[in-house]
Amino acid sequence: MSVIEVKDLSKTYKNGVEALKGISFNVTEGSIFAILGPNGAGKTTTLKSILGAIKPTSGEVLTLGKIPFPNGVKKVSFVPEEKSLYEWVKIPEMVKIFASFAPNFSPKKFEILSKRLNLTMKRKIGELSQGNRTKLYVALAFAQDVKLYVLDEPTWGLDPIIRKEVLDIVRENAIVGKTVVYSSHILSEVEEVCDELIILKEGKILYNGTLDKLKESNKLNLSESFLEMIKGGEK
Amino acid sequence: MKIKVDHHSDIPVYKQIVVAIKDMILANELIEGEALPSVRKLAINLGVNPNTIAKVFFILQSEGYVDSKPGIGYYVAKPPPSSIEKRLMDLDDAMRRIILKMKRFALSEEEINKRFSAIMEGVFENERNRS
Repeated sequence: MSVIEVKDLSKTYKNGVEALKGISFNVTEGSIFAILGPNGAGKTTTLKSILGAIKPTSGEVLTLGKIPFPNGVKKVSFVPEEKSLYEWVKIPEMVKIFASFAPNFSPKKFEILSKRLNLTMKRKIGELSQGNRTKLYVALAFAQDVKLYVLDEPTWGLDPIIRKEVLDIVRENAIVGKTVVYSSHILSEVEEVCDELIILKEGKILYNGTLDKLKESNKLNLSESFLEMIKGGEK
Repeated sequence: MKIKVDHHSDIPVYKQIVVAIKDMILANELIEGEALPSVRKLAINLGVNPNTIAKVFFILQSEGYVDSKPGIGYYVAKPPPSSIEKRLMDLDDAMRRIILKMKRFALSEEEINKRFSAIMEGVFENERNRS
């Protein structure tokens, strides 16, 4: 069963930038789905379209069976690329604010996750490093019991040990049947967790399928395949 | 179950695990009738996705290496009699590739033979000393 169905999706922003040029893909329930591509490929626009944060110029998006724009979709949790929250509050207050509107949020689960990620609780949001902001967002996102987790660069600024912890959390959720969609530019990391992926370049899909199939047909690992495809398009 | 998985290889992870489990069965390290860990447990143990393990068990079952019973799960079956021979042919092929590589350095048949014999002697010598 598909959790997300994207058909012929195009997005042109008001400033004339064509971020997506007719992309189509499905995300299987219970899979870890990666969206890869160089900067400006359309990764974040794709994620925002799935969440219903932006209106498609043309084409269709169905997230958990519903059209996400403009009301968003329940049972979806999100880690944004821009990791900004109320800068002047401390983390425990931020958690309370978050709990007041986020569906199925468990403070207890947040506590467990923040310990696993070694998150400092005493600081104000404005005082947090990039890595600590990422940790906070990941903990907030996975403290929600939802069907779909959408993560935009969820390991930004993390050291290798915490990064591995985040990947473990992603995998644990897949084990209990949750779907995780995530974008990253760290290929070696994606290679460790993803089942299915798309590779985007300049708003178009260069590859859409499983990681296994990609390796079998190219006889290359993910980084090598990625480079070959991205460069191949430039010839 | 100890299996080393290389996520960054060009060989898909499911294939690496299939070969590792087959070898354990052929080498009698996993004995006929022995229960295999559940999909979930093995996924956590090896640090891979459950989908991957489900695929591994599906392949092993279709090739006769494992079987499953409802309520019990997967257990080691008696692999088809030709399976060891098949596996040895894979290894022969690996050996062939090494010989071809040696030939590139203009080694004669006799020289390559010598090297092989020396390695064989070393391996069996070590084994004798251990026992």
